Amino acid sequence: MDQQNRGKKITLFSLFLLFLLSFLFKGPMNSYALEIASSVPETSPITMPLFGNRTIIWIIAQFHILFASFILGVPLFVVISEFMFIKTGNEKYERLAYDITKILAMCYSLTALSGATFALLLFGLYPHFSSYILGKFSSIWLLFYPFLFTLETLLMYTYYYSWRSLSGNKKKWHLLIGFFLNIVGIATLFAMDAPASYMLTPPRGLENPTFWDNVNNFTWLPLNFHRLLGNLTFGGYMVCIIAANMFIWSDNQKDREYYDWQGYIGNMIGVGAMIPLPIMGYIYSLELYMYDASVGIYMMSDRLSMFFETQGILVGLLFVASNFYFWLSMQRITGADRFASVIKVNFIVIFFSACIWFIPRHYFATMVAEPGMETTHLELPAHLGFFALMKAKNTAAIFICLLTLENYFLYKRAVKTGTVAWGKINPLSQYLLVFLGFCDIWLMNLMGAVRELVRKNWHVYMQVKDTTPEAYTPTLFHSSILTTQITFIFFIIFTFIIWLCLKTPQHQTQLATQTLPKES
Amino acid sequence: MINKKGLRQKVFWLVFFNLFIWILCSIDLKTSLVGALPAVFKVVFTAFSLCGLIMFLIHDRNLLSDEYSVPKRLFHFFLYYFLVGFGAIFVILWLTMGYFGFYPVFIWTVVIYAWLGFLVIVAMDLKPIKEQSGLKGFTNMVVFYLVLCGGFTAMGYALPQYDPQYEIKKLKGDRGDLSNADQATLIKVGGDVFRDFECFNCHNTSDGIKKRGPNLAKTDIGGGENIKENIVDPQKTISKGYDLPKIRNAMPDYYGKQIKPLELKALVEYLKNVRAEATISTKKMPEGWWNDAGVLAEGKNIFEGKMFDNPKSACMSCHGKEGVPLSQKARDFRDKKYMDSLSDKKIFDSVTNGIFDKDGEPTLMGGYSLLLSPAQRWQVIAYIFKEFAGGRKGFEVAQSAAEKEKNKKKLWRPWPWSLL
Repeated sequence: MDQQNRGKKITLFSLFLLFLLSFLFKGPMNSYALEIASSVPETSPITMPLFGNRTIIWIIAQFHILFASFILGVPLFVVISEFMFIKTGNEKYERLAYDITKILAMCYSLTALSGATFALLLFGLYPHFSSYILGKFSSIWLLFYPFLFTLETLLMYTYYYSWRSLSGNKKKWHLLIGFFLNIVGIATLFAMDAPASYMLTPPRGLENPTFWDNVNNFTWLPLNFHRLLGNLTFGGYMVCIIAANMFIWSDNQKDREYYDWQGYIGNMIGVGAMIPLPIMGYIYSLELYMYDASVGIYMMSDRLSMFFETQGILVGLLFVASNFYFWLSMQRITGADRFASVIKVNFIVIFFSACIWFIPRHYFATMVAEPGMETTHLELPAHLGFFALMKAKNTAAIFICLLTLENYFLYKRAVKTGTVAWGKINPLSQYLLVFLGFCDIWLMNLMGAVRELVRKNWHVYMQVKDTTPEAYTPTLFHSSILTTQITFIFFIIFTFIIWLCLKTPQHQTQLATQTLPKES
Repeated sequence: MINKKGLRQKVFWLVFFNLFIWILCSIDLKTSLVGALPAVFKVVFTAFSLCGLIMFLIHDRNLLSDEYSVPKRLFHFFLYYFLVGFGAIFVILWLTMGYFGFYPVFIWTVVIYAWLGFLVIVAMDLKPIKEQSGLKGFTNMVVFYLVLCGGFTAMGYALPQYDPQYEIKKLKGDRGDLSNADQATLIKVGGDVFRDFECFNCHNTSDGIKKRGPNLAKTDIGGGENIKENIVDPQKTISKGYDLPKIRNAMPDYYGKQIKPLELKALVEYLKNVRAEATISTKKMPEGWWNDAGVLAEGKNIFEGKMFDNPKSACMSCHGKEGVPLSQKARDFRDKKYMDSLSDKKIFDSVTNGIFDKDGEPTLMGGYSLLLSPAQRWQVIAYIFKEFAGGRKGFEVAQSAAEKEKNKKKLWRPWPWSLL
């Protein structure tokens, strides 16, 4: 009874927060739009009240991408977990895979809902652009995407509902469904990356580009790989968030042991995928520079440079927090003391490298100072300019990745050779896991915005101009407010989903009575 | 009490990492991505790791342990961690980085990172926090989300911003009627076009950190039609030195469509003016060029024929790559006494018009006025003197002393280095 009351309280509290946040969005997002509405001719047929056209598209697109990344990234994780169950026989893997799939099923509906809303708003608010992009990729919109989405839906629900029937000897068939689910998921991602990348790098120098020319544009492949790896990182950290929330809510040692272990697995996958992620980012940026150097410069050195400085801070923090989590985890492993000294020293090198990664060429937000901008002693002098160049940045990035990798292996070795007291981890570690997830999602949102803003006032770079009042590049502060609010609301929704799927009294009863999956 | 064994291990690893970074950052891998880095990078790392050693010296004394009362622990934290630890980190980094001429804002950046590192090292050994569960755990989590939201938004606020009004104004793109504009207006509007289309991203119009494209004040960009062609069809003629595969297509080819004809005219006028302001004398070597590394590098390229389609036009085809003449009639530039006897103007004229014998007949040394711009002629002259004649008389000592003095002035240093 107590639990039911508690559940009601939490639901009401969450709804209240959502209600409050819907008002929070209004102020800062719309201020610039209203300010300039009188100065630039309005060309959109409809203006979204309260929010403004760009802002509403920004919000809904980000929500859609977050849920879509979850349903694309997490199945990779789930299938790996199920495979580990078959390989090791450790039922914790099975429970992990099943729990996450439950959440996956719910997020799937939200992905479809947000996707449909996104499409409708886009058609209504940007009809000219929508018809252009529909025309260019009609085969994807009318053929591939509906087919892939339907197939993915079928596979997804078959995977979820066949969990019990395809167990025991038939488990391999279940794994096969999961495998195909991932293949179709990745194909969907690649298909949708085509218009997304085309908007930034449409083929140039071709008189009549074919459909394949449009798909296989300059940044399609790098975006595919960057997003794929990014989704896996995202999947790992989302599992961390689930584990952290459940660990904090748990009131018995047995659950804590399990969720402590789940956090460990999530972090391992998240960090493992994050280490090569900067390389994918470099390749993506390199392609952009090759396509049009002015785009790359606008992004890295001009108006979006401070967005990248923010990225520099956050990537540094992500690595520091991951390593800190390793440290806290090792405190509950007997025999791990021998690694303490080297890990502490590694922290010093990681902080130094994170600092080098961050150091900007100048502390003003444009390539050259705008009238009235203070610049005295804010730019690196010429003889120190190399600190802002790739040679120094890459050296720092290599140190960060290598030392994280070293700590990763030390941690794995400690787990392998020592005795782990699962569930005895410092609860601070769970906040670190949440921090990792928050950081990752926030960064993903901001960098997603950068990918759109780098087109400047073009819907499709150099092809379809954005003539609406909101075609200008917003400031970092404006973007970070929006990004924070989207991330916060996503967290609240996601926390609610976790509670609904894994913590409700019904779920607890089911867990106690079901034979499969069992808790180890 | 200090845990000596633990400290010894940490010192060992710090020394190891210092050696590792000093060696690794000294190997030139001949790539622009990784490889040798100037000494300042390694010195700053050593200073940073010295700060790490101080952290360990303080932290390993276990001054925050339970054996002390809470007020005493607070006192220890304030005295040792805050005053001694933070203070030492600040002093070490300020002095080291200040010596190399970092501006305060950059020193503060590194200091803050070091302080954060210190706090993380302290946090690593704190006692575990209390276990939480149920609604309290949920509430704590929501509060934590809110703290994160506040922190991340504050970060977005704290970093430098630009004025969105400028962006909005740029989109309007109203530059008035330019059809009958005078020269001064065209130059002014051209400057706006240069800025609005962000040409500055790749091109300097004065001194500064080297950018992707040529410096338009220092490079001979030709007359009006030439400038226009370079903007509208940049791939048609690519400047020497910018034809490497990696950068040859760097200049976008769409400005001809984006910039309106009258705006383009204004931009051309602006660029002509930029160039005119950096007019090169034909009588005297421009100030500071005798020993300028960039000038000498360009001069070397010219001397060795990298600027010419026909390698036979290269100076070295007669005068020898090492300054040893390949032709009996070619001047030996190593003859310092003779070289010093020539005036700047005489040398410049010789390169411009060629050399004539006593009868007024042209010699094998032809004129390079069509092949080289005035700036390029001075560049090759500077290179010849520096490389083969032991430097220009009166400049090799005087100039280097002046240069040192100039560099001293140029290298801004914070207190206390500014006192020296």
